[in-house]
Amino acid sequence: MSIVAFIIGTLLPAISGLLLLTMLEGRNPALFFWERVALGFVFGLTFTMFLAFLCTVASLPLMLPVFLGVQIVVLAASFILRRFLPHAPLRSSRMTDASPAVSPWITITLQTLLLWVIVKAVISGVVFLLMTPTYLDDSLTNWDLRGKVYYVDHALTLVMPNEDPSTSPRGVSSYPPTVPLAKDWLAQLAGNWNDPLVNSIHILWYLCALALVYYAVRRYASREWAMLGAYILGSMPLYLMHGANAYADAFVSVHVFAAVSMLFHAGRSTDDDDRWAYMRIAAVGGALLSFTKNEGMIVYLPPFLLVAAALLWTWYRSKKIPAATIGRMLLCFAVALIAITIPWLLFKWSHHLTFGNAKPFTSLGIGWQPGVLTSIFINTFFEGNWLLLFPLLFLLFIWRWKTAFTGLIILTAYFLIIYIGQGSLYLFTRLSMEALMQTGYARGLVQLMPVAVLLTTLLLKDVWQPLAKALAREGEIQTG
Amino acid sequence: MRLRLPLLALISLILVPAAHAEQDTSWDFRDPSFQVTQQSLSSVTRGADGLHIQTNTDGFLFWQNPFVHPFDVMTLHVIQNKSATDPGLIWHPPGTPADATTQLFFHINADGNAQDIDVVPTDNPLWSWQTDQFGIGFPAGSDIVIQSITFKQYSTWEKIAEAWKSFWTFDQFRPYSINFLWGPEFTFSPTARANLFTSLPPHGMSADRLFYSIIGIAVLIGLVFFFFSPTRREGLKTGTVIVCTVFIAIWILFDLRMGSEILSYAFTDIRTYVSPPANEKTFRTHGNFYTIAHAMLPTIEKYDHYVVFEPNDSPFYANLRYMSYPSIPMHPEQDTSKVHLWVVMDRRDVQIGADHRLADGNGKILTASGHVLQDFGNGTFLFAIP
Repeated sequence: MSIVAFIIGTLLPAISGLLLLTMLEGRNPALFFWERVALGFVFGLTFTMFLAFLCTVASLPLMLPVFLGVQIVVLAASFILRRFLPHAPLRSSRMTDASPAVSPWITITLQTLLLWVIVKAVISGVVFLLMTPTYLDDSLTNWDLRGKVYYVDHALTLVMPNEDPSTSPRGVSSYPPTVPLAKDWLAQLAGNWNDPLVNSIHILWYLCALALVYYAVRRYASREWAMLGAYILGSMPLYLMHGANAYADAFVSVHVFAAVSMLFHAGRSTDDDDRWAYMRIAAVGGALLSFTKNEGMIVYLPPFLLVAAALLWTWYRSKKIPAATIGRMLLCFAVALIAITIPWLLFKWSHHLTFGNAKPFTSLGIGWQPGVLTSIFINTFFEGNWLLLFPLLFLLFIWRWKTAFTGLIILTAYFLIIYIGQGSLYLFTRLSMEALMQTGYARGLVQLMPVAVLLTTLLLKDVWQPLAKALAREGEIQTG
Repeated sequence: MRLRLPLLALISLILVPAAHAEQDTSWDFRDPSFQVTQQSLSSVTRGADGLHIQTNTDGFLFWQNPFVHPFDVMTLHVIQNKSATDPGLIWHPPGTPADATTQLFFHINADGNAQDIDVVPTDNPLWSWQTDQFGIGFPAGSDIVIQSITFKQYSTWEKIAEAWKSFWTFDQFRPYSINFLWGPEFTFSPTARANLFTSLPPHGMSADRLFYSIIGIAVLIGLVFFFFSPTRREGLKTGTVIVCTVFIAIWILFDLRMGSEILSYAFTDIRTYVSPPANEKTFRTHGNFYTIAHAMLPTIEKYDHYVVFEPNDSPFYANLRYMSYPSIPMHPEQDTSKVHLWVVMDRRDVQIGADHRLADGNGKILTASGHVLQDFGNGTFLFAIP
């Protein structure tokens, strides 16, 4: 029963997401097929859980008919809307340049490394998520607990068991209910609360992140570069731990990446239709950010909107795009935010929920926090969390600063705003404990990881191309 | 001819470390000629077994300028009869004010037999074998016989072998593993390796330091080729190959190391939790908690509320709250007068008095009269109150 519930529970929202994406793309496919599938699952599940949330706000009980009703209505609406709106063919795929021939050893090495990534993900995912009990703190006190409470109570309960009703909602219940609702949805389908089933979705978010990074790189580089990008992400030890355990940070990361990478593709695109398509997807992705974790609303959405506004302003100033089109893009962002972010915001305000990382931002205090810089330095450069990614990335920022701050400015700006912003919070507020205890700081990096990996891979390619040309010229000179 | 220089370098690389051979020094307290100075200890007597120290006050044995060579591990051969004790090494770090001392504590279990206690002084960054004052402190209540102390310095090759083994020594899956992974650490003795991940942070040297050093050297070599090759392009090619090869090799080695650690978590889970029969399952840091909890759940779920009485900072309450919902656990400090079930976890101090009431280790009465519903041993049981 659990397997059937898993298949139905993931497939229905994934198909809805897929269909909705084809409409966001417009007539010409802007996405690769498997990219659309991965993104369809990510957006589809979060969006349908958002609708389930709206149903509970409308006093409907969180029971199977409601969940199933949401899924069926969205699916039906997607099919119907496709009849009236321009859309990309479902199985279509974005065209790419043929990958230049490289040494077969490079391809074989990369394939072997990707196989290693898959082996690690499958074994750790199966054992940690399916074969062992829920163990980690936030799973027990937040994600799985809330899901089980919703499942038992058939309601969006904000007071956790044996907690003070006046203060409990300001704790973990302040987080958006997407992940717990997704678990509830699977449990409703299975007819019982089953740890392996409700935890199984986490590995899908991890795999989607790998796929999205692969296809994001593939847009600009060969298959081998795309494999390298996916391998770099798959080799991140702490990211794998988050992908293979019932935590929500890999889930946030894939939403952050979906939104920001689409903005990046829009910025890089030279085709008007593609640009429009990416902006529409980015608008939906950005709005969904607010319904992931509190960080989505407070940390990731504002810089996203800032970068999007800067992009639109650049287009406007350069007259690259007609003002009317920019206006329509703005409207698209506004509609997405009004439809998704505002209802959740209103719910938070009306129920006195907080906005911080399970702590209200109003109680942070300001002042230099000793020890934080050392802690950040050790976590980033001297532990096993990220291999050598950050020294490499920071070196590439310096070495290829022109590319980082021109062609890749959207990714660079977003990454640095968040990284420096979070670092400042830890350095100057009482959130410093999150860095000193190595909790929040590392989570922040997990949430940014796919963006950091895309940046690294594209900067590496930027280093490699002139180098390879120089070496090739040398070969020509010698043979000539 | 072209190979002469690299060969010479290789030979000297082999010979120089070999010169740092293993050294052992032993202090035998059974030897009457071995001098010991003590301060504040109640009684220090020499017998056939060694030095017998009994003290009602804190005190210490001490020596001046005691060491003639550096060492990696000191091993105390002791007999500890009565209770466990936590002695400490005390020394004056060179270059600090004369009255400044530093301590490194270690633990000795109560065990009537002879024990070897390994201590790694380099766990404390202020350690120096060139200290002019060195002592071993004993807390009040100690009753211990020290037979001898061996100071062992490993040879360079032994240290390199240990460093390689410690590189592949993995941490366990712990609650903090979702927040950070220590990664590969180098230690240079079997004792340090055995205790590598038992303290926070681990007493080792991050392998990242070596990685950065090797990459740095590769970059320097690459630059040498770039600037000193007959043609710039040839230098660029050779330098690029060197730097890229070294960097990629280290990345893959690091990935293999960390991936293996995560897989080791999974295989440990399979070996200790998935495969064994229900009564032999243990899980990570929680021992057999999940086996017990699953056995308790059918009873717990019959009650709306129950009290969890557990050691401080224990994870059981959070686990039970999740597992048992909609049955809701309460803390003993809350108003539990209407609660009819107590879940006592890992509290060996809890007693059931003649009046059939639970009392904690201080004799404080916790409940009304009741009876044990299920007993799992080791201070873990369900207690029902009618």
